[in-house]
Order: sequence, then C-alpha cells, then structure tokens
Amino acid sequence: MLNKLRFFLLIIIFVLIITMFLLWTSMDVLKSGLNTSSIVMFIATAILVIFAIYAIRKVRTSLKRGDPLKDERTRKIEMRASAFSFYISIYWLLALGFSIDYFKLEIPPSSVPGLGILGMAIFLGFSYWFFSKKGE
Amino acid sequence: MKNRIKELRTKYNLTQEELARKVGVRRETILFLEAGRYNPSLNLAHNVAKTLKTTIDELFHFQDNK
Repeated sequence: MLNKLRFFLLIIIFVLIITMFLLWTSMDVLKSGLNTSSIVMFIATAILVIFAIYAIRKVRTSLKRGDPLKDERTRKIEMRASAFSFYISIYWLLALGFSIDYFKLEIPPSSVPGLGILGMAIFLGFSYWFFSKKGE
Repeated sequence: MKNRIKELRTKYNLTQEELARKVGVRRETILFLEAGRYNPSLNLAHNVAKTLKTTIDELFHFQDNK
C-alpha cells in the first residue's frame, strides 16, 4: 500500500516538474523567440522526460515483483550520492557563474537558477548510478 | 569480506529473488552481497544467516585489516 502510494507520488512529482519546465520554456520562447536558453530548457525537459520514464518503469517492475522500493543498500547509496552531488554542485554553481561572466553567455537571469537546479539533478542522478554500480 | 551465501542459497534451492523476499531486501542487494561488494548491517547479516539456517560467523569470513 505504502509502495503504491510512493509510486503515484513519484508520477505526480514528475508530471508537475515536467509541466513546469514545459511552461517555463514555452513562455521563454513566446517572449523572446528561440534562443540559447530556450534550447537548453528544451534539452533539460527531454532529459527529465527520459529520466522520468526510466524511474517510473523501474519502480513499476519492482512493484510487480513485490520487491521493496528501498532497502538498507539503496538508502546508503542515496545518502552517499546526495552528499557527493551536493559537494560537486557547489563547484557547478561557481563554474556556471564564472562561465556566464567570462564567456559573456546570453542567459537570462531567470534561467540561471533553473540551470543550477538542472545541474544538481544531473549530478545526483549520475552519483546515484555511480555508487549503485560501484558497491563497497 | 568473503561469504557463503551463494553456496547455502543453492543448497536450500532458493533463488536470489526468494532469499531477498524472505529477508525483506531488493534482489540486487542479494546479488551485491554474494559478490562481496556490499557489507550488510548486523541486522541484515543476522536475517540472512537465520534464513540460511546458519550463524553470521559461519556465513561471513571476516579478514583483519592490520
């Protein structure tokens, strides 16, 4: 029951995030046409959709098999991945700020937090994948 | 840390999935345990040992890190 609730919660969260990204991108395109930031946002949305499909399918398979969605190993991986991605994200945010200034990138200030969050999400996903394959 | 999980699991005709269900973890955790790529908590080690009708000492071979 709790697992099914988590599954539906996961779907709702993904739908909300993807809708928000699509709205944000659409508003950006309508306001200032197709530019670098809108292309980045489109790519981000596409990555999110792919990740959402992968995550939902994985959870659905686990539910069908009757596996718990989380156990002590996955919790350990989550903790390690969160800590690692948080550490890397600090450098990502610094690099993002530096790159915008140094390369004079035409990214609207409203898109910068989005890029920051996207980078953090990608690092978290990558860290989770890395630690889950690495083992101890 | 080496272990005899695979050996005993095969002895009792259990699949990784069945053992995982009995001890309440995901199948991948059993896979990692068998490969010696995951150090279980004392609680999980106890549950696995109990399911495989043995003791933690018999199941896991600890190596001193001196």
